[in-house]
Amino acid sequence: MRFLCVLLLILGVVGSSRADEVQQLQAANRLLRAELELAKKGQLYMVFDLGERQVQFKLSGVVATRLTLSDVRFWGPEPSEKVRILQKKEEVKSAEREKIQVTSTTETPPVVATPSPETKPAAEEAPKAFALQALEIDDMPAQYHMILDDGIRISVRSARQEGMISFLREKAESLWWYLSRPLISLWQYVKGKTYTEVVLTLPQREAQLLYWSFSEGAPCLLRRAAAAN
Amino acid sequence: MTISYHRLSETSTDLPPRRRIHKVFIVAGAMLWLTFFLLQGLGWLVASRAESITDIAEGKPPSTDPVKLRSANESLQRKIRGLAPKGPYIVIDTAGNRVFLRQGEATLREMVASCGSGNVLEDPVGGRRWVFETPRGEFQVRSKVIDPIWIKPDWAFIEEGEPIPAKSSERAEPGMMGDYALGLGRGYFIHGTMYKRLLGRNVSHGCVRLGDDDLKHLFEKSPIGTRVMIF
Repeated sequence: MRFLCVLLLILGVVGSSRADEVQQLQAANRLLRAELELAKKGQLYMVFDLGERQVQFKLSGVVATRLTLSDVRFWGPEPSEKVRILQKKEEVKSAEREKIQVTSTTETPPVVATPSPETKPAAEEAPKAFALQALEIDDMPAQYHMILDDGIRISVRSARQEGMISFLREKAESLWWYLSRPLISLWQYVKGKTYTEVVLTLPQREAQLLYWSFSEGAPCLLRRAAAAN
Repeated sequence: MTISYHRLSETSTDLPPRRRIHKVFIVAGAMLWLTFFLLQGLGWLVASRAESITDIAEGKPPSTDPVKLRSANESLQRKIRGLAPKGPYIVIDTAGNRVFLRQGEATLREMVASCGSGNVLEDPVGGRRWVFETPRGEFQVRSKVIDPIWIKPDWAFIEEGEPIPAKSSERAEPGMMGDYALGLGRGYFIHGTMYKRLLGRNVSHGCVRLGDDDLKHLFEKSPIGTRVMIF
């Protein structure tokens, strides 16, 4: 009788691990199929690989660059393996495009001669040439939220600085996050929706790079667990 | 029974007002905590349930046989890898203002560039609008030109506050694009620059500017059809 119990237990464990394996392989299969479709289009897409703690910028299956995540937090139901589109970005202060000031052409006398190439570098030497009017990576926010088309929320924050105050603030934020998420989930459930949130922590520059490159309307894939083949 | 009820009611009314308030606070607090923990528990339960099956399935459902699944996944990975360029290819990082010549995973050369400024120009007369941004996505080298001549587009005249010339010959500006240009289509080029001190900054009108040596190297190593990936 004891032997039979042990045998049943072993069979149960083996059966459940096999089911897990099949589930993982199926998830990987769906994700690969979705990626193949994206890769064929030749457009830039992001792969948020939470298991491997990285974000890959990909084109035609080639990893153009990868960002390493210093921390990942996940809340909500497991996301399905499908292509998602970035619907909008939310930030405290968005980067504004500079509008070039143009002097009216109606008042300008016609210019026959084009400026000679020699005059251009001289203009570059002038100090005002370095007061650049440009939208650069440093102008991008390092803390923001990205909302995907199915409502998944990706919150990006830059890695904390050293110091006790920063450490305590992070712990308090973390506590608040874990206490508030169940209530948000419940509220969304009452409204007939699901709530999934991913919090990614990146070094500041990389958080800004993600904001820069992942523009609204761009597709992405979300891989929750480590890749299975 | 009556006596005991009487006693009970007597004890509760006999409590001093301060203690009675305490008691109310304790009961209310306990109720609040209980509600909070109940809501927390429900929230965790809701969050941990699986996503609806209708959301998951798109197309043919995958097999349930692990051997078949493994081989199908390997085949898919091969197909994805097969889409990657076979020879050298160019990767442009518009945020870092870098151009990489790559082959497979290896970087053959890293170059400092100037990509689009992201500025906006509006035509005060015609109402046209331009955003000077380097486009993202996949392109390929469609043309290669030695000693290219810049044919100034309308925006260049508007930006400088000059009238747009009627004759196309008045648009030609030699020497502005350096010694070589690699055309990517849609009017975008990888070319040289006279503003070498601004390499590494976002200052262009959408084209990718390179220094002389880097441009020469890229021009020599990139035949027509070389794939260009911009992010």
